[in-house]
Amino acid sequence: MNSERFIFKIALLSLGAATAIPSALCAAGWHFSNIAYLAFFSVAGLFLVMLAWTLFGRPSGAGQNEAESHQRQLLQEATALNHHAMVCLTDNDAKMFHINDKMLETLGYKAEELVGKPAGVVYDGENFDVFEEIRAGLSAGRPWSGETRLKHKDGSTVWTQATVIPHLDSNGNLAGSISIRNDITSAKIDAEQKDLHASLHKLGDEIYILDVKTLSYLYMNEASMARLGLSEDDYRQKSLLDDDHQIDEEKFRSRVQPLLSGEADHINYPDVIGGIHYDVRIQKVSTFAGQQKLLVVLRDTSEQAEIERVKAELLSTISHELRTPMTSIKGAMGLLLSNAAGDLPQKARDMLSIAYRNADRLVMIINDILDIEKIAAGQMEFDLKLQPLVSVIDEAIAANEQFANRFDVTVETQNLDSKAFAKYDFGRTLQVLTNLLSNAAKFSPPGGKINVRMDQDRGQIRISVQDFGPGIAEESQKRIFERFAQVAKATNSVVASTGLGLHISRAIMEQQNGAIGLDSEEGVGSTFYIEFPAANYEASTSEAQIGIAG
Amino acid sequence: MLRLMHVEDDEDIREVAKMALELSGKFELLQCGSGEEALSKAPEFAPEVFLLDVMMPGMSGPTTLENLRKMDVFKDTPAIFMTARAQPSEIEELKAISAIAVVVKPFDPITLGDQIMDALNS
Repeated sequence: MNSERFIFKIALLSLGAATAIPSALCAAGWHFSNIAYLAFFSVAGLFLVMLAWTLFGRPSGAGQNEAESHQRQLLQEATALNHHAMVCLTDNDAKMFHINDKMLETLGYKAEELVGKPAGVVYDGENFDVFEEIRAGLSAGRPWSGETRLKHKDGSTVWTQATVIPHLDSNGNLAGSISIRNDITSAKIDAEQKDLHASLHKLGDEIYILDVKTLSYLYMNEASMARLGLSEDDYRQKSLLDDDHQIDEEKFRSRVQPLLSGEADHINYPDVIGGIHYDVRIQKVSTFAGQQKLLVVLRDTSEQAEIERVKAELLSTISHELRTPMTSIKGAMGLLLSNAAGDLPQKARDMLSIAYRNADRLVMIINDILDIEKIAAGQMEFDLKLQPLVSVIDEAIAANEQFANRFDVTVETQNLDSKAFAKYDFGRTLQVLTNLLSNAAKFSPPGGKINVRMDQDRGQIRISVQDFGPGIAEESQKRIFERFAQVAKATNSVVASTGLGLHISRAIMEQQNGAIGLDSEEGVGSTFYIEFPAANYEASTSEAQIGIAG
Repeated sequence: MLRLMHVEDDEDIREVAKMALELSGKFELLQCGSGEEALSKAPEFAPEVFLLDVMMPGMSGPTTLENLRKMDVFKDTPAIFMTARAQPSEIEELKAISAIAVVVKPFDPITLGDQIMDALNS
């Protein structure tokens, strides 16, 4: 446009000059005829116009091409920008009025879902303060650059590197903003993974990644390399099966089989490697390429094992130290009550009976506390043997006879099957049944009855102990197997228990792959039951005989 | 009357056991307060059964039995342990060193004699 104007000016100047030069020459004494004057005027004028054309006219045509090229370039730049970055334009209320395809695609929205909405809606809630900060800067006319955390429509986080520029009107007031963003989510994840990897590398636990097929090491962290005395270059040549590990390949493979078949998510077992106690955890890791790897974590538990050992020793000592005096106390009182030292006056006998019962109770408390500690430490031992359940029921009823007599209750048995076998620890199961029977006696009305029955259903054998006492309220039933849960008052307060018996019973049953439960109704009575998985009778009889013979 | 040697460091328990075993009337009893004492008195008393406490200062019950077994005459003499530790593994360990039975403390003084006789007869 400017060059056209310039040519116009030059043309006018040429005309002017063509007029002025012959006049000046005339004044200097030159003489021109009209025709010569006209010819000069025409030639000079044309020459000047051509000169102007040559000088400026041509550039005027090139300028138009450049503008088109410039426009094309701008368009290409905009296209490239749209392909590369997310662009969003907002108005002065921070409402979005243009969101490019890249941004819509990255955030999972359609244009109509966002246009007209405040720009804040695409921000991750926790990152909203950044949005506020950007707004404040824009109001002051400042552009903003930095990382923003946006939210995908599906709720996932989209990290962006953003530049937001204020759009000011002619009065310098904020009329809106233009933001340009790059999606840096994967770079962020990569960086986080790098951090995670670095943390794993420095972790105190030993971490190994093994190839499933060859069991060769694909990765070892520093702790693993330090224990094995290997460098990064060394371990890549080695496998778990190398001699110094003394690993039985068949055993290891059968151990990890449930992981490979998908039956288990992870496996966990204690192991002693090179004299050190470890907690071993293995899980399968599948890569995108479909390669299967095993992630092995070894946690040194020697310190914990030492603590457990000391604790067990302490328990054992307490057990010994407390039971020794109790042996003398109970023994001496028992002998006196049996008239071993001669007849006692009735009042003395009554008092001695109270002392004896409470000594008994003290022994029970000591036993219960020691049991609780053993359960907590995982040190309660079970001698699981395949044997008939009737024998432990009979023994429990016999052991409870004195107690039943004291509370004036009779025990009746129903449906006991001598062919019902299960794998259980006799002593511990006796403890559970004795506990259930003594509880039933305690809560029975004088002259009452306790039913002990056996039922078999779908591979389970259930032994129930039913009383016709006050029953247990529904809300109390839920916590009756918890520690120190005394939900009801016994008929006879002298025989109040520690509140640990049922908790211990539950632990004992669970350790034997069994279960314990309760059906109770207030005013009707309670039925406590234990369940064992039934053992095959034919197989069990031969096994039991071997067991007895052994 | 069966000659029974009772080895127990706790004097009160010795006293209770003495009365309990006398009550049964089946035993001729010699009590010792330590393993060392038992080893010195055993040859002369010639017990037919040993009743030994497990945890004792100095020589423990199992060590006492081990030393008694070194004497030919006591190579096969029945031995019963008394213990306040009643874990199955501990009981198994005691049986593994030739104990025929393990009496758990606190024991019932009224039935102690019967428990010993049952163990000897089974």
